Amino acid sequence: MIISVVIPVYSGADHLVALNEALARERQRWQTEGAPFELGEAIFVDDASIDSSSEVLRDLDEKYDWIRVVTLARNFGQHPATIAGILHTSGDWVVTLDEDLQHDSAAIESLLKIAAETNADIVYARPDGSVHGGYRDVASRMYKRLMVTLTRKTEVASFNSFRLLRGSVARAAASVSGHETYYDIALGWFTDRFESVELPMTDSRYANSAQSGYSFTKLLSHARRLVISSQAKALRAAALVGLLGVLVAMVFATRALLIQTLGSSQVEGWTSLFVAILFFGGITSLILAVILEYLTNVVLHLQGKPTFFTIDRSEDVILAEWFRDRDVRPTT
Amino acid sequence: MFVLRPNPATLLPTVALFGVGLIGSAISQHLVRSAGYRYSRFPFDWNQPKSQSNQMEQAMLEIGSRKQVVFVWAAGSGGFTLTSSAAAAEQTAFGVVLRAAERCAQGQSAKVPFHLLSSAGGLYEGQRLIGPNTPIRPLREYGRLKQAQETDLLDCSNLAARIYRPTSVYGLISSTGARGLIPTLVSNGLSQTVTTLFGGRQTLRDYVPVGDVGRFISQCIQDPTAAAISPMILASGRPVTLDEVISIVEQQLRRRLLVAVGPQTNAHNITFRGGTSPEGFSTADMTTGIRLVYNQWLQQGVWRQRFPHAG
Repeated sequence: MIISVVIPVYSGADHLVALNEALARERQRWQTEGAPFELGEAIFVDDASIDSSSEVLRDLDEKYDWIRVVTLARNFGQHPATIAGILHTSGDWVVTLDEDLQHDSAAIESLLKIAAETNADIVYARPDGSVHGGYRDVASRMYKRLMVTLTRKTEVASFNSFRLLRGSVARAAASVSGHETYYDIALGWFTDRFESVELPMTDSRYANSAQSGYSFTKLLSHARRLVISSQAKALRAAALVGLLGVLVAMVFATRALLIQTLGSSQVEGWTSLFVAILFFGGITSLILAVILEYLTNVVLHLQGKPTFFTIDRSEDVILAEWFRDRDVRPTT
Repeated sequence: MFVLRPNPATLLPTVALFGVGLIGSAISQHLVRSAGYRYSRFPFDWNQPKSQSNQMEQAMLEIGSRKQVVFVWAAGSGGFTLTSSAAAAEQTAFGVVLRAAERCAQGQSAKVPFHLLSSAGGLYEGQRLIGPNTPIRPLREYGRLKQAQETDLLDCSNLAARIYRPTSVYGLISSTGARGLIPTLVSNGLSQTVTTLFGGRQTLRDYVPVGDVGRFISQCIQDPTAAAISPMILASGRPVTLDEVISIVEQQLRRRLLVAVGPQTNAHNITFRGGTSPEGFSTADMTTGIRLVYNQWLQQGVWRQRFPHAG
């Protein structure tokens, strides 16, 4: 079984050699232990890096035949870089991790073990404690909770750039991902077997420099793509609000009519006007939501959301057999 | 067979080309268009081994006055579905050509270049991340034939062997219409007929456009300094699933393809490491390659010939 590792690179010159050494250690260890899987390739995607990463990668590429460098024409961002890398893989399993040593390559086995035991197609690493420290961790948790509410997808809470993906699912989702598609949401078009495992993680770059790769604007952009890619559940909420408006208008209209015809008192003010506004406003919202729902379906169809997807999990038993009684503990 | 003669004012060699299928046609087109070669056709009966030697003699007499001759073997039919009897017939014909090349080399100080179109798919079927040191492991008759041809050629000490192992080559020839998976998908997509796939939709392959292969080999043929070198893998290094190919074709055609899945007789993955191909060989990406096939299809009027009632 071949494992492909994909690493998008933007400003990681200081970490790349150490990361490569860590991967080489794992590769060697698996070979020595006779594991039924091998690290076949590590694909570094140079996302128009702003430091000396390109030079470091060139050296690594010349030195190791299992390392491959894919150079993007300009800075496309982490998601497109990851997709580009995945589309160059040949592995049965694909691991994506960050360049900055936040993700321990020794933990790949932990992800693989969970996949083998549960027949999962996607396994996310979940930080077992503080990653960035302080308010950023709180903000990150709140952000994820908000996204779960908006998208109604519980797996969103586990989304992490350190993930293990079944190769066929990874490539299928990557091949249909457009520039505005949220890759992890696209994965959900092909499988619902998501798992996650707690692992120690530390954002060393943030810890050392108090600077994160994610600015507030980037986070907002992420949130927008995530909600839009999620078949826009918000649309259904809008339709519901519209429907509610129509119902309220009808209740008020009935009440006003009853008071006017049967009751003793007169209905005063602009009752009919307000009821009409509420009614037609609700109808308009409802119709708009229906139209947008159609539009969403058309867009998803064009994006390549599949009608069905076949998968072969028959080799998971080999992995499960290997991991049985084997103590796999991630290191820090 | 084709004999391609260069402009007499140049020092370029005469080319004896065997097999004008997909790659052979691309090579001859490049030689004609880029280097001013002129071609003439000579009979070479693939199914009549007895007449092959005589036909070869005739062709060699025609070529004989030229000092420099280059042999190119781009023949082969059947591909992965090649039967053992067809393989034996092809090997016989290959032997006739090889002997003719050896005779041509007799009395010459320099070795006679012999370019052999082998097959990476046939030799490495079922292997992934193939590099220059990956061992050959043919699984079918087709791969075993290519392996035998390579061995036979390398055994000829007076020939300068240049062996090319292209991966899944795709493209279009005007004379015969669609060839290979991608032109078939384009053709069937336009006519909205069902394409039956004999590989899994997630089967990984490495596709290279025939134009890039033809250009590279024709440049090698024209290089008088090139000596015998180790076999060259001609791959893009970018694995592509069948699903992705279908998706790109659909985007280019702006319509959905009708696809059925047949028996999985061709479902092995075959992928290559980046940087495996020789210097000077570069390929267009899949989107560009498929767009080229589509445009070529429309320009050559093949579509109109096949569907005369279409608007």
